[in-house]
Amino acid sequence: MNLKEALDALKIAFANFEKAARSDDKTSLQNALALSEAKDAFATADDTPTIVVFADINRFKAINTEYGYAAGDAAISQIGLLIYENIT
Amino acid sequence: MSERLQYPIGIEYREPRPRGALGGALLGALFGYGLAQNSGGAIAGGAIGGALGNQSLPLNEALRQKFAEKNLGIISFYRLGTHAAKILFRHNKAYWTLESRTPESPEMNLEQIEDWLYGDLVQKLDDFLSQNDLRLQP
Repeated sequence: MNLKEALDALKIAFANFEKAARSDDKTSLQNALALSEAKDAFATADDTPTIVVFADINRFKAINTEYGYAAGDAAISQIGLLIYENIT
Repeated sequence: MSERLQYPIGIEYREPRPRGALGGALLGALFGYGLAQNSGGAIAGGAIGGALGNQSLPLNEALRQKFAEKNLGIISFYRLGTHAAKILFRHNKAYWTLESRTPESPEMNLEQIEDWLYGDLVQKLDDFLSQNDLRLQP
């Protein structure tokens, strides 16, 4: 591998790290770090409409108990996808 | 540089995790990013890792890289004790799991176990994708 290929691979890896650091594995939604950075950006922006949504999944534990953790993680992922598709 | 890893006699061969400068660089970048939380840390870590050379990524990261090459994202990685692993991923609007367990062999060390699980899960993913794509054809 030459230097250019190594640097290109590092750039891709870095972009992946940046994305991973600011998103949740299971939902792909932005995480607390991204929220904190967005909050700072909103605080300095004028006239930017901002919505904060707090959501909870009722009786979620039953999914894990009944079908296992993988099914629970799939459910969280699907809910994250629904939120993403309907709010963004 | 990549070398063919040897497993104990009687263990069926599986493709090991990628080794060499890229693996070392990515591993270094991971650590660099973890320490500094910025691109400078990742690049510096990558340079150090690349210089160190013949390293492999941890199983979780190696699998995530492989899945990313196929435009798939791993939702969850489960380590089921030392000898087994399971992954959850999304494909064609459905959720799937793949699981692998190494053959019983007290002679396999941790590196060999990680490599074997990687190769087995990659092989199972390839089989899954080819079967799934065939099934989806009209």
